[in-house]
Amino acid sequence: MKNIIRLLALVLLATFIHGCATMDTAVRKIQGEYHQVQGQYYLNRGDFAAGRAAFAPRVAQFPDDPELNYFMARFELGTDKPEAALPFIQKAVKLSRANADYRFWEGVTYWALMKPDRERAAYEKALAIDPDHLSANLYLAHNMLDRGNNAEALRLYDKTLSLNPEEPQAMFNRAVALERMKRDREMTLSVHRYLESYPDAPLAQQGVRMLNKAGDFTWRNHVIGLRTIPLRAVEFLPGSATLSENAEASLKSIGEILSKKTDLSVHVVAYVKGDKTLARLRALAIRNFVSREYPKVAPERLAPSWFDKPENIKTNGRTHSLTQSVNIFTKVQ
Amino acid sequence: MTRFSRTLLVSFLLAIWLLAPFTAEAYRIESSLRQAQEDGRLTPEEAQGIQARIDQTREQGLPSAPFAAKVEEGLAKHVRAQAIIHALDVIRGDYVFARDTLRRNGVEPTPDDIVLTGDSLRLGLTRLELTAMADLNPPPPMLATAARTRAALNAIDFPVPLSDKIMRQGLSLGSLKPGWERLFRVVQRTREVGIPDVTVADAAARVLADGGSPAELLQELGLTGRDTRHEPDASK
Repeated sequence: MKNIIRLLALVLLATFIHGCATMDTAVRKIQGEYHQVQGQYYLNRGDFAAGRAAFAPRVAQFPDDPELNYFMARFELGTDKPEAALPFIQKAVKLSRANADYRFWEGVTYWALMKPDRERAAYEKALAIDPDHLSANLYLAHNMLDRGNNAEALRLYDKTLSLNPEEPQAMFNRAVALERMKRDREMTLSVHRYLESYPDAPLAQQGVRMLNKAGDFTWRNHVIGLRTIPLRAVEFLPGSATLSENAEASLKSIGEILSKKTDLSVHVVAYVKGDKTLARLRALAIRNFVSREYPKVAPERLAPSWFDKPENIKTNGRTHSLTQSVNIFTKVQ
Repeated sequence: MTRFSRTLLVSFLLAIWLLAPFTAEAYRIESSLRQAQEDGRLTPEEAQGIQARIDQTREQGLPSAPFAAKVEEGLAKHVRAQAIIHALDVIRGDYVFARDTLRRNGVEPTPDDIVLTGDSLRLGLTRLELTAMADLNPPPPMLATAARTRAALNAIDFPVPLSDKIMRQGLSLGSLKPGWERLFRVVQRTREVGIPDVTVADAAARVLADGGSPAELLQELGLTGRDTRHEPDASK
C-alpha cells in the first residue's frame, strides 16, 4: 500500500512538474509573441525612442533573450546610437547564431561605426546562413563598391536583382559598378532600366549625368525653378515638328510645374543643324503643346528661340555636339 | 494551450498596452525623490528644490520628460543635489530660448521640436546661430532639424562658413528634412576617405537644392549609404 501511495505521489509530482513546464513554455511563447508584435510596431512606426524605453526594462529582466536584444539594437541604431546598439546585436547574434537577420543588422551596425571589414564579415556570415538574404547581398555589394571591388559588387548586385528585379539601389549601383569598370554600353542599359522604373527617384539625376557623360543624351536634366528635373529628351518624328510620345510625357511634366509655380518662365531652345526653319517650328510646337495642355500656362511664359547649329554640351571636360536637340531651362527674371 | 487561445491572449495584452494611459512620470519622480531622502542621499530641502524645478517646467509648458530623466540619472549616479538643480536650470534656460525662437514664425512647436532644439544648444549650437537660422523663417520642425544638424557639425569642427552655406540652402529651399541631422556622419565618413569638407558642402548644397537626403549625398560623393532604420526595400 505504502508503495502504491509513493508511486501515486511520484506520478502526481511528475504530472505537476510537467504541467508547470508546459505552462512555463506557454507563458514564454506568449511573451515572445507579445514582444515580437510590440517590437515590430515600434520599428514600423519609426518610434525608436519609445521602443527603447519599453524594451530596456525587459532586456534587463531577460538578458539572454535574443529577440529582446535584437529589438534593443534596432532601437539604438534607429536613434543613431550605433555604439549603444553594438553590444545588443552582438549578444543577439551570440544567442541565436543561425539567425541571418541578426547578422545582417550586426553588419549595418558596423557600417554605422565605420568598420568596413567587420561589416563585410557580418554580411558574409548572414549569407552563409541564408544565401538568398536580399538585404545582406545588397549591402555586401555596397561594401564591395565602396572598397573599389567593382567586379564583386557587380556580381552581388546581380544576385540581389535575381531576388528582386526591381530593387532600386541594386539597379542604380549596378550601373555605378559598370561605369567604374568602363563598361559603358552595359552601364547605359542599366541606367535606362533604372530611369524607366524610378524617373522621380533622387538618384535619377545622377543616373542622367552618367548617361550624358557617356555621350547618351536620350535623358536630360532640366533646371526648372530651383529644382533639377530628369526627363527624357524632347524628340520629334524624323524631319518634322511632330512631338514623339516620350517628348509629350516630358513636356507634360514641365507643364505641371509651370501650372503650379505661376512665377516661373522658361526658355525653349531648339537646335537643328542646317535647318533654321525646322528648329523654329519645333520650338513653337513645344510652346503650343504646353499651352494647349495647360491653358493656365500663358504662351509668353515659354520663350522660344532656335538655331541652325548643333547644341554643344560639355560633360567632364568633353564636348558633345548634338545635331538635333531641345534645351528647356528657367528664364531668369 | 491552443494556438487560438494563445493568439487571443496576445491580442488582449497588446490591446491593453495600446490603450494604456501615459506612464505616471510625475509619480515616478516623486517616488525617486522620496527614496533618495530615505537613503540619505537628499535632504528634504534638496528634494523640494528639485521638485520645485520640475513643477516649474510643467507650469511653463515645457516638455518635462528630459528633466525627469536628468533627475533620475543624477540620483542614480549619486550626483550632488546642487549640481542636479544647476543642470535643471541650464536645461530650462535652453528650452525656453529654443521654444521662443521656434515660435517666431507663428507656429507653436511640438515638445519634440523644443527638446531637439534645446538639446542642440547644449551640444554646441550657439544662440546666435539658432537666431540667424530662425531669421530665414522656417517651420519649427525644420528649424529643429537645422539646430541639431548644425550642433553636430560644430561638434566635429566642420568649418562654420560651410555650415552656414548648407543651412541657408536647406532652410531657404525648405528641403532640410529629418535625416539631415546625420550629416555629420557623412562628414566623418568622407574625412576617413580623404574627401575635403568643402567638396562635401558643395555636394550637400546641390543635393538639398534637389530635395535629396544624406543617402543621396553619399552617392553624389561616390559612396554608398545604408538605411540604419529600416530594411532596404523597393519603396525608395
